[in-house]
Amino acid sequence: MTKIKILLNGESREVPENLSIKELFIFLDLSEKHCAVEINKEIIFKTNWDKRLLVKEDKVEIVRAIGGG
Amino acid sequence: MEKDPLIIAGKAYNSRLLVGTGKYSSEKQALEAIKASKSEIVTVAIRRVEIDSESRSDSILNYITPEKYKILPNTAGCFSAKEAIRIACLGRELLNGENLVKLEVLKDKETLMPLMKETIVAAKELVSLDFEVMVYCTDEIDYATRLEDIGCVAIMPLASPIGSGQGIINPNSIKKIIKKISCPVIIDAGIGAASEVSVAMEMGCDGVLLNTAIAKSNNPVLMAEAMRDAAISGRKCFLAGRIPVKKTADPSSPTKGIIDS
Repeated sequence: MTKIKILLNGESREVPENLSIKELFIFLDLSEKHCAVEINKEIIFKTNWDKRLLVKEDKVEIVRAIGGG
Repeated sequence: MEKDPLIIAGKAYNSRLLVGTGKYSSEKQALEAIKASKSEIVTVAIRRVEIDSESRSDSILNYITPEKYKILPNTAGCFSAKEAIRIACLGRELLNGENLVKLEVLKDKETLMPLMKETIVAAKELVSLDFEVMVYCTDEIDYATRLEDIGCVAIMPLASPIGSGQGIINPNSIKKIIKKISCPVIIDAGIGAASEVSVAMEMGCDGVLLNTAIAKSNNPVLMAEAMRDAAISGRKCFLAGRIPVKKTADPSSPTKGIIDS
């Protein structure tokens, strides 16, 4: 399987090629619930998570809510 | 007492106490204290997920749920309008399109004071993007007026620096804002004790937002109850209308009919 390098939450990671965002969550064993995703500073809406495939050097941010004031 | 809801962006809330969810020692403690506060609006921060599953913490929304609470994502940790807008948009996305946001743009990490020039830029942009902006700001009346004109749904001046517990160090400035601003004025930051919540409400503030004063007390659940009661008590005092301060004494018992000595 060919792998590509992406920047995920500020860290360089190798992920399989042609991975959708939905599949990225499975790959990371991460629940999709209450998460938001941004790629190259553009929000990817949940409805597009199965359509947007990761490409080399994508800067991906996955965020969620934590305790704060 | 008749119903006296706090109305923010057209939505009515019974509680005038808003609380943060940070700095608690455990999720359980946060949940218990927030329950005890009877708050309906609770703030959260937006941060990166830990990618490694061993160090990963659960989303707070799994136990402080959007079904039970109005979740107010903040833009804490942002030092420019651009960053704050970005975080606000991510917050809205993870809350399935909820438009309410607590905007804060800070000057620096040391003072945590609002950076008003950037706050105004961000507020304008967020309002144009259909956000309902509750804005953390200084106690300067000109900025408060400007933010209301832009279309913010709540003006939230600090009482004293974030997390300092110094109480209300600027009562005259806060009073001026209350007098001039039509949308809700909510004290945000600096509260340390329940009496300060009461004082804020007695002044005519529409609500108080606090976090550290509960989370870092020795008994967060008990403190949450104290803050809840103080907000109710202060509000009742404001509605009832306090007596004017006099320079001299005025006997509470009638002077007529006192028996001769």
